[in-house]
Amino acid sequence: MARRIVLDLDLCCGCRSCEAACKVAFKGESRIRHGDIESVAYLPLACKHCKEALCLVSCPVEAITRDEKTGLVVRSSFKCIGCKSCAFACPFGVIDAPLVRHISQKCNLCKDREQGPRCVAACSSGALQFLEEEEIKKLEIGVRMVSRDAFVRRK
Amino acid sequence: MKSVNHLPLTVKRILCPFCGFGCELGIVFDDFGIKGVEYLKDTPNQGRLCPRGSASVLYLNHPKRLCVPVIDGKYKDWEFISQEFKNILQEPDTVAVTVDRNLTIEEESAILDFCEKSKIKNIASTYFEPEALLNRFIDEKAPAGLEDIEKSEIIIVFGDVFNYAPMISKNLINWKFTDRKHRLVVIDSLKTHTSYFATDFIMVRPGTEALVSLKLGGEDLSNIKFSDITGVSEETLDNIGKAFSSSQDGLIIVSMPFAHSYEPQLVFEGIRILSDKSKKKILPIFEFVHNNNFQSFSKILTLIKENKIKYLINFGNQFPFYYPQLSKALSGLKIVATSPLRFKDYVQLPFALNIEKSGTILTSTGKKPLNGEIPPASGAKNVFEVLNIQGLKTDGAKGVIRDLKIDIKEGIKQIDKHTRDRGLKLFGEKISFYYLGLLEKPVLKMNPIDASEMGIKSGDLVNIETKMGRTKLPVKITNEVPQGAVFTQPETPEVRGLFEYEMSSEFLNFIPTEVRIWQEE
Repeated sequence: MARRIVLDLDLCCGCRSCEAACKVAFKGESRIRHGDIESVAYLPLACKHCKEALCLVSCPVEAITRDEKTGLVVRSSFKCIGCKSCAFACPFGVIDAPLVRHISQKCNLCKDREQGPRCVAACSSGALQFLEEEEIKKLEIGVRMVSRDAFVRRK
Repeated sequence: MKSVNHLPLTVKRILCPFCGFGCELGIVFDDFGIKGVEYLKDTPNQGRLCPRGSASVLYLNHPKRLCVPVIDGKYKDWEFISQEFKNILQEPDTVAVTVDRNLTIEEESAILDFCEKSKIKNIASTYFEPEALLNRFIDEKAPAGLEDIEKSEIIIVFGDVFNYAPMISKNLINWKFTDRKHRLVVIDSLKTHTSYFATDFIMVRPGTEALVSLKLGGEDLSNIKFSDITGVSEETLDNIGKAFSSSQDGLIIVSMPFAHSYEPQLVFEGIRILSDKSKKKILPIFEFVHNNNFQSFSKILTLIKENKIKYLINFGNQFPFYYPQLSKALSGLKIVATSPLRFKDYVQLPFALNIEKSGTILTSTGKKPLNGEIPPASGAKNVFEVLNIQGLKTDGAKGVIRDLKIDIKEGIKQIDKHTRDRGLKLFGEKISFYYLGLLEKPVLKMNPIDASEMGIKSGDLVNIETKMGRTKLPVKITNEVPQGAVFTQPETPEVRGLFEYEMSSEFLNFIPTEVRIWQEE
C-alpha cells in the first residue's frame, strides 16, 4: 500500500524543522518547501506524487519517471539537464526553481531511510504524518487546506 | 553480477546541546566520518527535532572549524600559546577572564578554580543574551517539566516559544486542543506563530514587556501612564492575573531574545513575583545557560576604560567576535579567545563544541549528562585541556549563584524614558531556522505603512544605520510587526553589532536601538 506525507494544519507551528531536516540530509537542497500566507496559514509543501504528474509530463529528457511498484514519481540525477521545466510545471510549487547542483530537487520520500521521510520524523509538533492512502481518507486530514486561526481550525 | 553493499553505519546517541530543552538524537557515522542525523523514536522527544538539532551535523562539519591556534591570522602551535599564557599570568591583576556559552558545568567550575589559583580577580560573564539570567528559575529539586503543561488550566507565555524552542509546540498545542477551557495567554510585541494559537494575545508596545510582567505580578505602577506606554489596558491584565492566581494549576513559560525588550531582568522579576504569589511553576526556555552566575561584564568594561586591564581571556564561542560594537572599548587589549570556528583578528584557540564533550549541562528541566560519544574535531580542545597546559589542577571549585540586585523603580524610569522617544526603533527576535544561516539569512521585518512611507518594497536591500554600526539587509514587509518598529534576527556579527548597550553595575544590556533606514538610489 502506498504511503504519503500529509499535513495536519491544526498542529503546524511554523518552525521549519521539516525543511531543515531535508536540507541537511540532501546536501543543502530542500525538497520540502513552505508557503507563508500571512496571518492565515503556514504550509509545508511536500511532493504529493500526483497520479497525473505534470512534472513527469513536462520533462523533455524523461528524467522523471514513475516507479510502478511504489507509485512514486522519481527523478534520475544522471538524466536531468537542469532545464527547470518540472519546477514551472508543478501546480503546487513544490520543486524549487533555483537549482543548487544544476539538477532539479525532487522528493523521493527518503527511499534510503527505512523508517520513512526525515521531514516527518523531525516535525516538532507532529503536524506532518506519513500515512497509508486508506488511512488518509478515514482521518479527513488534508480536506481543509487553509484555516484562519486556532479556533476555526479546531474540529 | 556483483553488488556493492552500503557502507556499515553506526548511530551514536547524544543529548542535543544546542538549546536547553534536552532532546536526544542520533549522529550517523560511516567509514568516512559523520554522515547525518538520525531521528530516534525511543527518545523522550520521540525523534522530533527542531532545525538546530538537524543542523548539528553542519556545525560539527563546519568548513570554518578551527584546528590549530591562530594569532593575528597566522597559525601557531600550542607550546607557543602555553608560553603566552605564562607571560600573561605574571601580572594577574591586569588579566580579566570571561566566560560566554558552550561550556559544561564542570568547565565553568574549572575556570573558577583556575582563576582562584592564578589570583585572577576579574572574572565575568560575556553571555549577554537575557536568557543567561533565567537560571534563577531552574529549580534543582522540582524543575518544571512538560507534564506541568498537561496539568495546567492556564498558561502564560512570554515571547515566541514556538520559534524559539519548537520542541514545546506539540505539548502546548495538544494541551490547548484537549479542552476548550484551557487558556493560553501569549504576551509579545509582534504577531508570531505562538500568538496565532493563543486564546488571549496581548500585543504590547515593543520593548515594554517588563511593565506588563510587573503588572501581572501585582506591582504598583500608578505613577506612570501604564496603558499609554504599553498599549494594554490595566483591566485586561488584572483579569488575567486574577484568573491565573485563582486557577488550580498554571504555568509561566518564558523566552526572551536578544535586544527584544528594555530591562529584560525586570521581565523576569515580574514573573518571579507572579510565580511566588500564585505558587505556580516557571518553565524557562533558553539556548545555553550558566550554572555559575558570574559577575556582570560592565565592571570589567569600566576597568578596561580606566586602563587597568591589559589581557582578556575568554572561554566559550561567541565573544568578542559577535559584538563589533564593543571593539572600540576592547581595542587596547590583548585578547585570547577560544572559538570552534575561525574568525578574523584576535588570538584564537580551537575549542570543542558541547556536543563533543563529556560532562553535565543545565537544561530547562534540570541537569543532564553529555556522554562524549562524538570525538572532538581535529585539534579542538576543551577547557580542561586548554588549562592543563599550564600544569594546574582543575577539579574542585563550585560556583555560587549570585544574588541579583534589581531596582524596580529605576528600571521603570528607564523604560518610561526609552518609550518617550517615538523614533523608528530596531528590535531583535529569535527564530530557530535562522540558526547558522541554515534556511535563511537575517531579514528586516517592517510594517507596510512604514515601508510605503519610505518607498521600500518587499525584498529590497536597504541600508540600516544605528549609532553602533551599519549594514545592509533585505526587507520583508509584514503586518506581523507594529508601526514604528522594525525587527531583525541578531544571528550574525554584522546584525548583532547594530544594537546599543546600556551599562549598570549589575547588568550589561543590549537594548532596542534607534535606527535609520534608507534605500540607495
